[in-house]
Amino acid sequence: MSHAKAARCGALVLTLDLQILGQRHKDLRNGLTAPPKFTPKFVAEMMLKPGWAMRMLGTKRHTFRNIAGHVSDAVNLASLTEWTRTQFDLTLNWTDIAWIKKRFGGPVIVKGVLDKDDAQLAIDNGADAIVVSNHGGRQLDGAPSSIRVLPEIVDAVGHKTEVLMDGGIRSGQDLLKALALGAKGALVGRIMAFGLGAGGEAGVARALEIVRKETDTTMALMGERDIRNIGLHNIYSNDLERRQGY
Amino acid sequence: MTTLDNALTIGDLKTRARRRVPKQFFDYSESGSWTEQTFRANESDFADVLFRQRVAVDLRDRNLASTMLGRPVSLPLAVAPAAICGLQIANGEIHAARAAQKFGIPFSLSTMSICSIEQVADAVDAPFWFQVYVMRDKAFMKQLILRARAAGCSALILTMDLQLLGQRHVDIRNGMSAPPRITPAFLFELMRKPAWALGMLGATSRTFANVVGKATDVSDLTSLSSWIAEQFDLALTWKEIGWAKDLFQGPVIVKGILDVDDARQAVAHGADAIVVSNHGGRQLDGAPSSIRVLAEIAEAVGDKVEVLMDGGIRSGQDLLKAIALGARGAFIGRPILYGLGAGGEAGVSRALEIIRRETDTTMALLGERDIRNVGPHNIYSNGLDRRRGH
Repeated sequence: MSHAKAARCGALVLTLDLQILGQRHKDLRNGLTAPPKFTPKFVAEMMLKPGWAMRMLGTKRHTFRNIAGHVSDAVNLASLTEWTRTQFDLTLNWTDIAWIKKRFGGPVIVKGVLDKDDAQLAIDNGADAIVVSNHGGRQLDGAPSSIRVLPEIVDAVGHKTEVLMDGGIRSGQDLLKALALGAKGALVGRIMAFGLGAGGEAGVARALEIVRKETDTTMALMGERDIRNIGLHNIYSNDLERRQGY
Repeated sequence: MTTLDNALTIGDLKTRARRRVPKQFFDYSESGSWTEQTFRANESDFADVLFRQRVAVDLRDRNLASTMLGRPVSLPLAVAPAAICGLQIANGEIHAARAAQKFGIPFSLSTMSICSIEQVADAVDAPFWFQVYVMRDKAFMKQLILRARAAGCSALILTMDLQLLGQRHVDIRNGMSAPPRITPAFLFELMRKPAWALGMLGATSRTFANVVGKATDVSDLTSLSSWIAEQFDLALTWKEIGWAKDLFQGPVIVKGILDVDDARQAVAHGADAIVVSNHGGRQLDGAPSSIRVLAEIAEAVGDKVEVLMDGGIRSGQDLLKAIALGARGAFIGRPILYGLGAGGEAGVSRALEIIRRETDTTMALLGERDIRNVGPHNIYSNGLDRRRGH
């Protein structure tokens, strides 16, 4: 937190949905590590993807640089993995937010909210914004999609806080749907990763440009001139059932 | 190549089992009746039930243990009474019973098992549950129940949805029989699956050991087939529950309930627990999935008896959905058969361990610490329509 403060980060995003890690079979099957292990399979991958390999040679950043070297007992990968596993805090609770906010001294965005009671609790405990998110579907398998739960959370707390969302946005149309259902803005994750893989900064710029153009044209076709006016009146219908218990 | 050690999902074990078990026996389990609509829905309907995630909950000291029929279980799960476990691998029933005993959950033995009640009882210390069909030969049915009682079985499972047999096309096409007929196609299968064949050479039993030589007039396979066809009792009524319970003198679990009125009938006639089940989609094709009807049945009789369910559970997430919708616990059948085919006792242990780990992590991600507290509040929405007639 002190590092983030010193680097003048404008907000702290506090992740609440990762006290324990949801199993992702692909990572286990691929033997994912950072830095990667030099297995024959990985060497073959590098030969197939030489551009990636050449650029990696030119950087020393091959592992989790925010962590490695900054925690006393996490010097190599094996201990880092163990450190990460043991560090996720099973005892996390809402009072931690107030403590973190005090320490950081800037706005705190609480990420990983899928329930309107949790949204209210986040605000009660000082959250400046919340991110409606299921961690990209990487944690609770069987949780509703972000776009499904967004409206009820906006109804509950949208007048008190900025409700953001992430999860599944792949186009300007998607962004506009999220905004129309009440999000103040949205976060894009995989779009960024695709852009990075496709061409680094230029790839990300291209991804953002694609989303911008789609947003502009789609907004026009909806008959709107200003994105700040987008709202429920732009929705024809929403087939996603709200929480009804069972 | 999928091994037991790198199997991460029940699906991985299925892949491995398919490679190791002769086709006719793998297919026998992996099929439903006629169009297999209900067989498919049992699995796929779970996707329409969504979880409610809560965050910022202290998740230390989580508990998965519960009770079923008043006895402690390490996870509210039981091994379903699947037929012919002992043809997925030699002595399959004993492998599965041992794995269940080590894991701390009940094992259910089918009447149509390959190893007999006595053979399984000799191989394990923990009492197991015994499943029985209602048969026309009441003398034989009585004998079966008394044998189960003598073997120390702790519950009797009475199957109500098999008065006649739903047709499963694949068994007819494969010429399925137990023991298998030695056709050229089967010999070819044996060459492709030598480990299975070698194991079978040393098997305790290769046919229906509870029946052959024990029921009147059943001495060999041919007489067995006609016996089965004649035995299922078309005249079955609710009164059989009391009759079976008096003989067994222990708890009776009534299996094959898909309707609220039937659930009430079962309770009124003395059932100690019911199993919401469509027989793995193997009987009434077009019946709703078990997970669809579970909630309305649990609401109707859940305060009077333990409501259990089977059908479609392939993960800890599925198990938690069933419990959240009102099941006290659930049975798994096919995941056990996959485990058996994939690697006997070790394969079943792997299947149970996969489900336990998924259940533990998913329960934590729900924001729950104790599986006994999982309930309707953990459901975000249930897209499965309830019964509403036409």
